[in-house]
Amino acid sequence: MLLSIFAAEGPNGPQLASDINEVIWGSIAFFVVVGLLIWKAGPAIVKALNGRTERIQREFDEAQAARLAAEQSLSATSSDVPDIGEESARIKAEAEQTATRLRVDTAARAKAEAEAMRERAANDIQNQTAKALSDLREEISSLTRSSTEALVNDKLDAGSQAGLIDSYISSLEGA
Amino acid sequence: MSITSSYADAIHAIATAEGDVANTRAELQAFSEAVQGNGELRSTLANALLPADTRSGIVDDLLKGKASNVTRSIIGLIVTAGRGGDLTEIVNEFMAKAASASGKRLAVVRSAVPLSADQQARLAAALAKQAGGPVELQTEIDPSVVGGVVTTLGDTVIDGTVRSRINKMREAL
Repeated sequence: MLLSIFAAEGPNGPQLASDINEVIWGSIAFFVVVGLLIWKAGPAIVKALNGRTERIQREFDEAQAARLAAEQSLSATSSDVPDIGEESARIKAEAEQTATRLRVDTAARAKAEAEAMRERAANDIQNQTAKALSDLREEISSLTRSSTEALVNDKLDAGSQAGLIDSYISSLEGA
Repeated sequence: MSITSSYADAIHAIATAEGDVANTRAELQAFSEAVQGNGELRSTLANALLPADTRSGIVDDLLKGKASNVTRSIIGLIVTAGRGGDLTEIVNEFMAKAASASGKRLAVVRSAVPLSADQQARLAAALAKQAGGPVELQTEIDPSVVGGVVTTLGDTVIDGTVRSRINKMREAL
């Protein structure tokens, strides 16, 4: 069957056109087109490829720089943050100091207030004692005066009154 | 010049014009002592809520036939004017002015019992010696002095009462 096919295809066989000129001109046209493409479009294509390469390289460099900056920032931040354990110890120490100070202050204040209360109580006792003594003295004085007046009134008869007046006048006359 | 001094001046002018200063002084002093010794009478005469006619009527009833018309008019004037509460001060001022007008200084003498005429004369002489001029006594009976005498001569007080001695003893206690 293949032989019958080859025989039917003519002198150039089944792979080539039956007309060799067509093949030649076709090839020439092909190379001309390819040459024109290489001559005219080649630089633009190369330029476009180079630009794309440069852009990719630039983006890669920028990414690299950003990564470095991020690493530096991370490093700086890490160095700024103190050690958690150290900070905890410092806060605890401060709390203990504050508690100690408050304890001392409270004790001192309580002592001072107790002392003041004791002093006020002592003063109150002293004042009350003085007042009681004063009242007692006043009472004794009043009683003495009343009894003296009563006694004098009983004893002062007309003769005594006249004697007192005479004595008064005599003291003025002798002055 | 105070109100009491103005009234004293007016009373002195009236008594002088009537030519009855000595009698007026004696009657005013007696009435003043009576008012001092009677709290009810004192508050009645000083009561501004009572009508003036009522107060004047009380004075007339008290002094009718016992005091001269001059004295009754003077006291009626004082009480009607609403100065019944100042009666004693006005009378004292008048007494001082009257004494001063006669060239004497007034000495107010308070004692528990009346002074005899001899005691008054001796006391007036002793006070005149101290004051450097004649002194007129205005005697008052004051039981609160208990015994002895207290004399006020101007700003000077000469206290020889039993009351003051008791007070000193009380202070010493």
